Order: sequence, then C-alpha cells, then structure tokens
Amino acid sequence: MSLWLAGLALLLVKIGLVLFVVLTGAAYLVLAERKLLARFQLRLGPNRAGPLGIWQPLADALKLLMKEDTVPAGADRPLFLAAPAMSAATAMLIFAVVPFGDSLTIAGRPVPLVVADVSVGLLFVLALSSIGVYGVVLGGWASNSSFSLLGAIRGGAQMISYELPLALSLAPVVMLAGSFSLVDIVSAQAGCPFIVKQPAAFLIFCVSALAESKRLPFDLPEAENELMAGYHTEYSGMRFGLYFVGEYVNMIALGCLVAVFFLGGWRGPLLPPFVWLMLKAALVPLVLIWVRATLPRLRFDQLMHSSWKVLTPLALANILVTGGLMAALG
Amino acid sequence: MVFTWLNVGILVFLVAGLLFGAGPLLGSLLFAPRMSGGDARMPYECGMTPHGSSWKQFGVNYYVYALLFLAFDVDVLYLFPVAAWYRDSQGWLPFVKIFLFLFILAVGVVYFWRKGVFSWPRRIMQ
Amino acid sequence: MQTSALVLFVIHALIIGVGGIMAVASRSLVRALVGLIMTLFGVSGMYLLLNAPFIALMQLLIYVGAVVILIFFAIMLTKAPAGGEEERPNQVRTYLLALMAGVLPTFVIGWVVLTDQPASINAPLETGLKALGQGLMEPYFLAFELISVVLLVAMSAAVILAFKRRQSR
Repeated sequence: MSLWLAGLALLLVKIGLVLFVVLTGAAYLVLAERKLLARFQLRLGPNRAGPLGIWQPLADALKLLMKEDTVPAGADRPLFLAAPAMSAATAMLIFAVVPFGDSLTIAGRPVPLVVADVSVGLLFVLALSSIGVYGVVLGGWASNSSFSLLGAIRGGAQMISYELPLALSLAPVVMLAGSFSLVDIVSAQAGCPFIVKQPAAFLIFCVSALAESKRLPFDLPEAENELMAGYHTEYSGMRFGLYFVGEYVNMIALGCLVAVFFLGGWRGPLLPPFVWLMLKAALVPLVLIWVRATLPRLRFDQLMHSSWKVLTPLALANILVTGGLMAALG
Repeated sequence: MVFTWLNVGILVFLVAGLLFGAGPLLGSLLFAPRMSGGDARMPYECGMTPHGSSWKQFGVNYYVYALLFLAFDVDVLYLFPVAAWYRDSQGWLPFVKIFLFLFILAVGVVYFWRKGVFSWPRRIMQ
Repeated sequence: MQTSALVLFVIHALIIGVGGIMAVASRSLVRALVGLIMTLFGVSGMYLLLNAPFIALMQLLIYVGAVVILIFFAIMLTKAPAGGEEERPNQVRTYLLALMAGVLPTFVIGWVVLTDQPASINAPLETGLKALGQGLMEPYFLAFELISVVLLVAMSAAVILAFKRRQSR
C-alpha cells in the first residue's frame, strides 16, 4: 500500500512539474512570438507590462478572464463548451511520454525523468495528434457558424492528410532504434543524432508537424482573411484562451518531439540534460514564428497536394532507402 | 487484468487537463460580465443576419480523403511492428518483403494520382 | 495492485457504458459520434488493462483517429434531416431485439471464458512489438502482404464509386 501511495505521489509530482514547465513555457512563447513578429515588422511589440513586457502573458490571461464567455444562438451547447478543453488537454498529454533526462537517484531508488516510459510511446504521440483533430472539428461544428464549420471541415481534412507522412516519416526512426519507446529512441542516438542519418525523414516530419500545428503557411482552418479565424470564430474569453494555449503547448510539444526523434533528445555536453532538451525544443517554435512572418498562406488544393503527391511518396521512398541501406551495411 | 502506471497516468493527466480547462472557466464565471439581449448571441456573419442553420451539406472530396487516410493508416500500423523488428533481421529477404508491401501501396498512390483523386475540382458537384 | 486494476476496470466500464448510451440515445448525429468516441476510448483503456498497449493505441489511431473522422465527413455529406424517420419513437419489440443482440454475445463470450481459460487469464502477458513484427514477417508473411492488397482494393473501390458519381452528373 505504501508503495502504491509512493507511486501515485511520484506520478502527481512529475505531472505537476511537467505541466508547470510547459504552461509557463507556452505563456512566454506567446510573448516571444509577439516580440519577434514585431521585430520582423520593424515594430517594438508589447513593452508596457513590466520591463521588456515580461508581465504581458499575465495581463493577457487577466484580460481574457474579464471577457464575456458567449455561446452563439443555435449552437450545440455542451459540445461547444467542451471542445476547447479537448484541444488543450491532448496537446499537454504528449508530455507524458517525453523523456526529460536520464534517471535520477532519489533515496536509493532510480527515478526515471519521464512521466511514463511507454513501450509504444511513439504510437501514443501519433494517437494524440490524431485525437487533437476533435478539438477543431467538434468546436467548429458546434458553433453553428458557416465560417467555423468550413474551418472545422478543412481542419479535419488537413490534419488527417498530414498525419500520414508524419507517421511514415517516423518509420525509419523506428527501424534505426528498434523500439517505439521514446526513452530507447533517445538512447539509440548516443553516437550520432538521427538527423545525420535521416535528413529526409527530418524534413518530412518537420513539414507535416508544421501542418499539424495549423500555423502559417498551413493555417487554412483558421485563415483570418477568408474564414475570420475559422473554427474558433465564435469563441470568446477564456474558451478562446484555451484554444490559444493549446496551440502554443502544441508548438512546444512539437519542438520536444523533433528534439527526441532527430536531435538526440536530452543528450549534449556540459549543460544538464533538461537544459539541452529545452534548448533543442525551443528551435522548432522559433522557426515556426519565423516562417509565420515570412511565408504566405497556401491554397487548399496546394495544401492537400503537397501531402498526398509529395510528402507521402517521399516518405515511402525514404523507408525503402533506409531498409536497403540497413540490409546492405548489415 | 494488469495494472500499469501508464493507465493511471493517462487518467490523472486527463483529470488534470479537465481541471486546467475548468479552472479558468470558473474564473471567467466569477469575473466575466454577462450581458443579455440584443444580437450578442447571433452567429458571426459579416454583419448580416445569418440565413438558417450553418449545418449544411459538404462535397464528397473530403470523404474520399478520409477514406484513403483510413486505409493508409491501417497499412502504416502494420508496418510499424515490422519496422521495430527490422534491425534484428538478417539478409535481404525482409527488405524484399517490405518492398512488396510498400510497392502495392505505391501502386495505389500512382493510380489515384492518375485518376485525378488528388486534384481538387474547381467546382464540387453534388 | 489487483484492487487498483479493478477500480480502473470499473472506470473504463462506466466510460464505455455512458458513451454507448449517448451514442444510441442522442438526437443529434454528431453528439452520437461523441458518444462513440467515448466508448472507443474506454475500450482502448480496457486493452491497456489487458497489457496490450499496442492494440490499445491502434484502437485509438484507427478508430478514433480515422474511422470516426470518416463518419463525421459522411454526416456532413448526407445532411441528415431533422425529423426524419429515425427520430420516431421505436416500438417495444425493437428495444427487446436490441437488448437481446447486446446480451447474447455476453453469454457466448462468458461461456467461452469459463470453459476454455487461456493460461494468461489472470496475468496477461505483453507481446513485444518485435515479436509481433517477426510474426508478420516470417510465419504470417502472406497475410502481411495480403493486407496491403486488400486495402488497395478497398481504396480503389471507394474512389471508383465516388468518381462515377461525379462524372455522371
């Protein structure tokens, strides 16, 4: 019984720490994005709330709290109310399997620095990203607004189309690591990170992940100029805030996944593992922000084509090339 | 039945997610103003009054993509355990087997491409 | 640990039950879909209890991630009219038949489990993914290749049907 309680306490502490780090990260990612976008456009960005605007995330949250939470007439009320939480929760669940470092020794017992070392962690991540579709689809559908519904349908089609190259690009990683556990994948990269052996898979994964995150140039589901924010047109106040947090948590999650699958995870010289993981994980969100400031939006047919005509065949070919090389080199 | 921390972890995480979702909403319930009357609850439609419900019919294209995805997804999931085992395999025979599997899939992609499935129609007919 | 497993079992069973009732009883098709998603989640939790995480996640990936989205697009395609014949209250006979269809498999499965218990019934073993992969590549190689043929046929048939309709107009 005491073992059971200790296990539960450990689990709760780990989850609490992870959620704290991730949510703080997401809050400051919003600030970083606003600052960087402003710089890209020769503006200053938020600089009033505290020095350099460091209290801006807090101010934003307070502002959202003070806004009215409306439900449009004719909407499917329970679904409309629940959908944003779905979007945020799936993004956060990804961190359950991300290893933050090697195991620590506390009171003579090794404590692995991962919430759950699942033997099928990679599939868990893929499953979550496919469940993430529902926050978009159900939220958009429940709003009873034409724009939201269009955004929902587009979002659904886009996310399932890019799910495929996302999964296929990870097959070579599994072939090299011989395991689905994220912990094993990181330890398989002790010699050299997989980005060296799998540059094609890395690129395919990054593009598909960008599309999964529904950000420019793939932000068709929420295209503000034609769909007026798409699936979250009707959301206001804190519920809109939840979608927003979900998007930014998702960006950090993608950063962590790219780091774990291709950049060697927490491995690195000198600095502690956790810092290395965070440094590597910060790369992807920064590139995403840069891309947002640079590229125009794709057209919907171009979006679907680039998944089915380019990325999927490329990913299939990449699996074969990897298999051939592995068989040839023994 | 087997008890795993994964199972509890997922449930606890789900509860945490729900609390995280519900907390701010509780806050907004306390702090946010509540108006009534007027057209505050009218769905957004560029200033016009929306015409009927928005739940309308959609083209078949989306459905076809979803169907293709379903089939490919099943394929990928069969490929995954094989990929995990591939490192322990010997010689070229497993490669040939995977090649056959992927070749049939690739034939599918080429066929749909030629058939025009991946070209979005200018006007979706019903 | 057995008690905690039992508690988890009850939680999952409740999720499955509530989801199932929601899927059958809702007026709105999309809400029924949400009920279906809940049920599938519960079933996947059951697979985790049976120490089959791969099957559990396959369940989520294929059913929740693909099949339900497909059903959603199908609902959007058909525009189910409110007040159609499905909305009429059912006869008692329909309910009885439905109940029988639900209860009968329980007896069959229960009977099988009671008469022919597998060795792993109390402590299910996890089949490693590598063992699964080896199984697909060596003894069940033909089945593995046939999967891709079957799926190719299914996809092509769906595409042909959808496109026939598009050309005939």
